[in-house]
Amino acid sequence: MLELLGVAKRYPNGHLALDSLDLALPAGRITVVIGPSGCGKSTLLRLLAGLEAPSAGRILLDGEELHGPSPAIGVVFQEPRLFPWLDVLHNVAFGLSRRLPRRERRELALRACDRVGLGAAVAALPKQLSGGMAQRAALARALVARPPVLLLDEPFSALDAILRAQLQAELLRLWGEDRPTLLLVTHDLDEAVLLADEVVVLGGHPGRIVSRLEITLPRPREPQRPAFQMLRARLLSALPSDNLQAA
Amino acid sequence: MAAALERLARSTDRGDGPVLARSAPRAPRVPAALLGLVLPVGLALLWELAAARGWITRRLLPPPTAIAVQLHELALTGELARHLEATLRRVALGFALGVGAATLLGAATGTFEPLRRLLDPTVQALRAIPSIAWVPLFVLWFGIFETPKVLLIAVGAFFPVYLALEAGIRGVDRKLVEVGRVYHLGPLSMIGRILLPAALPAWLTGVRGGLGLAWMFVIAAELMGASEGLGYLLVDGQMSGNAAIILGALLLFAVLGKASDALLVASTRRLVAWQDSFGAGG
Repeated sequence: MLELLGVAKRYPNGHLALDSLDLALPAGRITVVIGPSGCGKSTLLRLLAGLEAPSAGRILLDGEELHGPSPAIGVVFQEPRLFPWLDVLHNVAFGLSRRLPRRERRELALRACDRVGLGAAVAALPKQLSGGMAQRAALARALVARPPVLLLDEPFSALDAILRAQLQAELLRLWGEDRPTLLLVTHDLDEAVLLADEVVVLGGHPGRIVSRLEITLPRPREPQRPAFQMLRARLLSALPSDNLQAA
Repeated sequence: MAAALERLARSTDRGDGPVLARSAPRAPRVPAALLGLVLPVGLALLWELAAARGWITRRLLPPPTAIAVQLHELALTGELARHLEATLRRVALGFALGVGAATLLGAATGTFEPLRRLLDPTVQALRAIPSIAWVPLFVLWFGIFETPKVLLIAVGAFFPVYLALEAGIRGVDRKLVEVGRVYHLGPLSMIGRILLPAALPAWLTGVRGGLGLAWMFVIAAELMGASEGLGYLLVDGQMSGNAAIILGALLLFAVLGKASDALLVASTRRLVAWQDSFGAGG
């Protein structure tokens, strides 16, 4: 269980991005955070990733307060952020502790590459990868150590619709293998309804939780079904109206 | 074209097809190398012709054949090898020393901001001193033999490497550093696994500049008093009024400088093959 208790974030320039946020991410569930640009979605993810420290409040992982990045939390960013000088295999192995023997790291990385469908591209350099392949490699790097918590910051937003649908399905399949606690930030309504057990809607300046929506549709979910469309409509009406990109 | 490439990329996206590699059009290498020879060979022929026709004073500007004969004579007596060896040894030692020190200091100041604030102003002030100006002090401290020469070359090679590495590290993409933080890298791992590899292209540019300066400063060092080395040959040629020796030494400097640079580039090309930039196609 990942918990935020009264968390606020004020940046050094005085901008208050988030204020008195209370949120619990139950273990083994997919929570999707959605909201308009600038509502603090990415700040929330960076706080959980340990890349920013909260200005107030506490962040707890299984009851223990987090101070900085934790090995129990894997992160996938909006851009793949692969190291251009390492091939796919070594980029993926970067997610593993150096304390593991080299051979074991190699085997785990190979398996992670296989899991995301990059088994044939382990020797490729990032400059040789398409956008989808690069994001798959980033996903493999985050998954390779099998962390109990996985954070994803708009991981598919730079991909076209077909590729996005493919990767969403794969993310669900991968999540189903270990069932990590998963938090995904998006501004895409369909993505939220497709993936989430619960959608948390952020809004306002500074960002606060304006609404929460349980999604109980059985998986796999089909966007053309009326039930899906109804949930999408409910989510849309829950969103603050300022500059929605996904409507 | 771009759309077709993207489609191809997508079709191989599951990784079961061939990896889409960006292949830049590659110029055939041998003709390119030969093209670079056209100008010097053409000039040499013209020069030879001018000397044969009496258009120039042979005593002041001996033709290439006379220079070749002079170098051949020096080679036969073993003198040329001695001079070459002395100069190469000084350049190698001074260059290694300068690059090593610059890499350590540049990595430290590039990575740790407080250290940069502490040291960088002093390093920049030292850089403002023309390196030749160190000569009297080095001679006073270390005598007139090898040490001051090697140190002078090291000072020359130091600054371009230091500047390039320090700037290179500070220019590393913040997003890559964040990935390192997510994976709990300590300061040394951060330097070794992210900052230095990312700054490697900048460092190599600095090293090339440093090598060029090492050749420049070996002449200065040998002109200030040496009994062997190519710089000594220059002085010797001047004293004995033998322009062929001077030109021969200049020619050797050109060849050695170019060859060492080419060797450096060729031996490090693989290290930066990962770059996805306009000039990285070959």
